[in-house]
Amino acid sequence: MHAGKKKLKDLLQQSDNRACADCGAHDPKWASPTIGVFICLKCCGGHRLLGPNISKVPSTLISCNLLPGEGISFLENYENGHSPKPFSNLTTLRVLGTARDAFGSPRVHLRRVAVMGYFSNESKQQLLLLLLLKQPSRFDSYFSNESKQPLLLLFFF
Amino acid sequence: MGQVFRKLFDAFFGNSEMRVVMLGLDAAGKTTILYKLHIGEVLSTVPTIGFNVEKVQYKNVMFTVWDVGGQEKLRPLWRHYFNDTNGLIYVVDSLDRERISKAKAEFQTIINDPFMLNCVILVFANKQDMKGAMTPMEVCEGLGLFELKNRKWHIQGTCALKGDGLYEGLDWLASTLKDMKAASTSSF
Repeated sequence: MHAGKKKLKDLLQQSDNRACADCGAHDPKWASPTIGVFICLKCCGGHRLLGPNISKVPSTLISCNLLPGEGISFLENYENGHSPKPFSNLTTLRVLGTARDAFGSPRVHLRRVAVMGYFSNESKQQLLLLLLLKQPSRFDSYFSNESKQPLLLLFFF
Repeated sequence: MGQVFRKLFDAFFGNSEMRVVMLGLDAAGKTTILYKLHIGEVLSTVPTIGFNVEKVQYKNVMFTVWDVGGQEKLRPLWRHYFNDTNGLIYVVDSLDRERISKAKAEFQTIINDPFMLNCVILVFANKQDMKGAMTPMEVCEGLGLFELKNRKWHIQGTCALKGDGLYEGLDWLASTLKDMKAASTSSF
């Protein structure tokens, strides 16, 4: 237990890990052992929306489940600088998180489209592909919605 | 004085209040559920450090819902919210099969607390929209709900993002509360 804590502390002090993998904020205090990055509290939200099968985000301070065993060694292998598969770049992950957010509820949709405007065309295409491949059912409910908002999103791609 | 009149008025028209505490492991969806009920929107939430509390009016019951952070080191603080609580909403992440035993252990600790012996138990099996999620029945078995004796409990499959099942759950809470109040007044 004690060794695990020390290992974690060492990892956090490496220069790669001193900035949040998603937004670059200083000294991130949360981690995603499933993806292998350290992130900040704000970016946690996006990761959690993806569901525990894609990204779990224990805290480095207040979750005991990060300390022992595999979580740590995984983080050791993949530090913030080089993120592993299946998400070869973090932007995709971030967009995917945003999208699940948007697709979950039509009401937040318009606000999210504004956010989507910031992403590059490349990552938007990746997102569309990923969503079509992984969660086609989300699109069904989206198109059958009585409001015309959903179609707007596709014009942005 | 105003308070007295309000209470009389509420008693007359059947309005009642209910204090509910919402617990569950981290990332189960407690905060998302709270704000879906409160403002009807999905907010992108961050892990709760501390608690959120909101009032939710449903039919003629005013629920005061306490949503307490579920991170491992925050769990020992849960018992401070138990006093004077009428209902427990226990939120389970149906996708997280690995931690269902952990969820069971925490659940059993909560309901066996002396302050919680009289409260009604509503279990939300959340994230039912995801593929591979446990069914409410599986969650039921995972938490050991069938072994409960002399407790009022109900399980409800929900999807907080769409809002499915949330109001059905509150419906059950409200009607159970009404029954219990009726039973307690008739015994006097």
